[in-house]
Amino acid sequence: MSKTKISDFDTSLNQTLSKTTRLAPRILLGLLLMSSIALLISAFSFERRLGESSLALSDNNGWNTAQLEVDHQDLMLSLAQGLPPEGVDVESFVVSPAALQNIRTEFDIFYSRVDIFEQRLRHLLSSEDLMAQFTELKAIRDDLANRIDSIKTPDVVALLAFQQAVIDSYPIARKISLDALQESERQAHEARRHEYGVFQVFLVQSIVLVALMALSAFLAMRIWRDLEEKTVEKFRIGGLLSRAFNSTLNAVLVTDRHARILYSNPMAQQIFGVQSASLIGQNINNVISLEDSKVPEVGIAGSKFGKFAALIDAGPKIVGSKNSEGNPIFAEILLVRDKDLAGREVVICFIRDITDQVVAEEGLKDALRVAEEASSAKSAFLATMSHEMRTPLHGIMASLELIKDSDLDAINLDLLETAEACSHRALTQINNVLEMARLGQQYEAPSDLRPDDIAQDIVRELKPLAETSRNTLELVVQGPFKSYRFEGLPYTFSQVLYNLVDNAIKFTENGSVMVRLFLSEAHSGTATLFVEVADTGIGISEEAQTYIFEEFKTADPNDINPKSGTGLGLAIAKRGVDMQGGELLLCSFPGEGSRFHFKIPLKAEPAKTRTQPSLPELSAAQDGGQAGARKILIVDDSAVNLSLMREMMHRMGYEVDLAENGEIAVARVTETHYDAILMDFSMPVMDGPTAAEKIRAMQALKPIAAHLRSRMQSDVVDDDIRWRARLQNAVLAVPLNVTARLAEPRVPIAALTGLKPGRIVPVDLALRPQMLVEGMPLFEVEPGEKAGKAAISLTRRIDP
Amino acid sequence: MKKFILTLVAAVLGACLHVTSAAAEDVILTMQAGAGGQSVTFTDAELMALPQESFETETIWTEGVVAFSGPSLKSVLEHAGMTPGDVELYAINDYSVVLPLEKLEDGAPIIANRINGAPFSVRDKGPLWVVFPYDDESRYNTEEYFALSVWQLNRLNVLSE
Repeated sequence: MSKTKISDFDTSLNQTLSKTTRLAPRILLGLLLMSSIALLISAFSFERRLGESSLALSDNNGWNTAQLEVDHQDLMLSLAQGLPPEGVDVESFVVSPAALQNIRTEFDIFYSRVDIFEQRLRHLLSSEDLMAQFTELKAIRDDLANRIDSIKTPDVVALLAFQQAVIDSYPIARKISLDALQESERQAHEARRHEYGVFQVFLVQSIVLVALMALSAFLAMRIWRDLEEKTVEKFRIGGLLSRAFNSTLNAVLVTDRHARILYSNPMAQQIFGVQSASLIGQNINNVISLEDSKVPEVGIAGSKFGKFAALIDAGPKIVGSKNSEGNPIFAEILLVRDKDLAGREVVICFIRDITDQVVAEEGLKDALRVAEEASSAKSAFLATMSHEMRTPLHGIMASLELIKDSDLDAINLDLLETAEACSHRALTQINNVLEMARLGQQYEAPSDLRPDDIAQDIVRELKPLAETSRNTLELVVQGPFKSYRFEGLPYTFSQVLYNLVDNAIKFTENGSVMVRLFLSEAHSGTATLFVEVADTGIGISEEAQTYIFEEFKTADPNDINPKSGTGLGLAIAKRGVDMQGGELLLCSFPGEGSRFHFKIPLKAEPAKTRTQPSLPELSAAQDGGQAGARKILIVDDSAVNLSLMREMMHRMGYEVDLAENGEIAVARVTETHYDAILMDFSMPVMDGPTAAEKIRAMQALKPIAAHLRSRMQSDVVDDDIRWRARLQNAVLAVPLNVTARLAEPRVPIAALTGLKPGRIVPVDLALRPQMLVEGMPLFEVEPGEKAGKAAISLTRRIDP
Repeated sequence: MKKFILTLVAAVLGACLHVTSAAAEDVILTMQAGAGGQSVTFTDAELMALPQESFETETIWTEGVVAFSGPSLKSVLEHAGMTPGDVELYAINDYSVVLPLEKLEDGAPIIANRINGAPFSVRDKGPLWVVFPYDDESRYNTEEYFALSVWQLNRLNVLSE
């Protein structure tokens, strides 16, 4: 409906315009031409009139001057007629009265002619010579007048004398008449020449005028043509805009400054489900409701735009709205303030119905949520599975260790070692797969990080492995590590470094592995840590370098050397470096060795200077720990763990009691005094933290170590459990089954049990299971206000 | 005796002539309606009896400002009962010119029989002079109107269409 109207309007406007544009230049041109012709005609008529008038003047002058002689001759004629001719007897001749009267009249005419002639001469500004002659003639005339006036009777003699005087005066009269005629002619000629000059000037002026008019007509024509072209272009663009307005997928509403709708396009009618006619004149708020949307009401008080005032010139905004039928719609709205052709303020609203899109997005979000739930379920399943697989694996490994101590023949020992190696590999494999899954899914929260200490741990841990391949393993640490407290991803960092060093050792024989850490001074709270692991091993070919960081890839896929591992080590390292904001780089040549290095930024703040009061006490405690047999309680719901730990503790010279859950443990504690408690974290009936709490309530400051089953699980536990875990003095991670450590005299358990109350030395909370291979690092805990509340703050690493 | 008779005859004739001429002298303007049509004569007194027009003007034939007065040509024609038409004006010396009807206006031209309040003789271009108020309107100050300004007017002829 409105479409037709608009296009009708366009067409009619176009027609009107074209009619005007075609007529106007023609009229203009016609007018200009007509005036040009009129000017020409008037110019020519001017010339003619000028010529005629000057001719008439000269004729009149000529006639007048000639008339003097004519009147003189008339006088002479009347005298000749009235008087006797020569030879006739004068005496006997009678002059008739009529003849006399005639003579008098003719003389009077001549008399008046002389006066008129005088005026003409003055008018002509005649020469002095002519004027002198005329004065003479005038004197003669006056003399003649006197003579004729004195003749009262028809006296022939007197009249004859008068006649003679008249005849005598004829030559002078004639001469004056001729001279005046010539003078008149000369002046007339002069005047004509002057007039001709005037005309020429006029003609030139006219021609110039005509030329100018022709030029202006040409210019007007051109200007009009330009204007017409521009107008046509304008209407073409207008038409395009009008079509765009009508056919756009957006609803377009144009309102005046009182928010009344002036125009709407068909899409608007479609979106709001109303007719064009009912949109026009309505307030925009009646058409789209912003009542439920979160648009702030910042409009000027009294503005008819209401909530829309906040959207004007504010860029596109997505708002929830309702259409005229009250159905909810989502719309993307853009309001632009503008001026119409008449300069009045208007607001153009572009409204896009994105209801379908929003609905689709909501659907996608739901789908994502479902997928994420499924994914986390999978992760949970994986974690559970890992635990379920690792627990028996640990059992196998611990059992094998214990069997190794018994007498075995060479063949059985060989078989046992193979079984041990296989189970070790299987454990590594599982750990790596889980690690990869963890890196892909979980985010480690930034916490305290001591890269130098971690590196030292790892080097110490892997030194035996290096020695078995007859490699030297060295750590070089450069930089002000002790001057700062760093914040980073300690677990990820140690994972990366461990994998790199482990990898380097694996592929090097009779060579050296060098670990270098370099720290720059911190600038504006950020320090850069440079880490390098270089070996003199077999190196990596250029081709292999391209895929070595990919998951499940090894340098030589055909090599089934047990050393090559799962092929996940470098992939984990690379991801770990990425997560820390760095890039793992490799420089390697086959046969010459490899160099892995990366750079990561660390948040650094100056470290507080601290005293080290605990070191001597710790030594004392360690000494004390070896003094005699102690009693220890092991709490775990896993029968395998219980038996293994019992065996370990037993071999270490402890007296061991067992409990299957927290409740039993609490009961045991009330009956027996234990020097230390090793408690599992999650157990049926009563979990570790709860039990620890209860024991704490009964016996203050009894060292209780929680043993978490795996790192994996510790990540899964919620914050509440973490918090409660801190009630326990230390957290140990299973497995605790490594003989190398158990054989050591300075076992941490001993250290734990030998501690004085108030000096709690816990185990590293972020300890990785692998690190237990080398030994359990100890930390000094800062005593004080927070210790009693079980907020353990680790300050300084104490090397065992 | 014979001479006496002759003298007497001459005297009688002269007397008659005198009477005739006296009567003829009084008439200063003769009007004729067309060629051979009815004629009307005017004496100076008769002209003076008509409504008088007067104006002051300079002319190319006189010196200084001159006051002309007399009846308008139109009023004279109307008084004579002539149907207005082109008028042929004649002077004593037989100069003649046709005054077209459209130039016959209410107040102009006049047949002036007084200059500065006094009658004027043939020697002063009298006794009748067709004049226009040349100074009042510039259109009168052209050769065309100058030619129509007949002095020593003694008769006129009203031409029928």
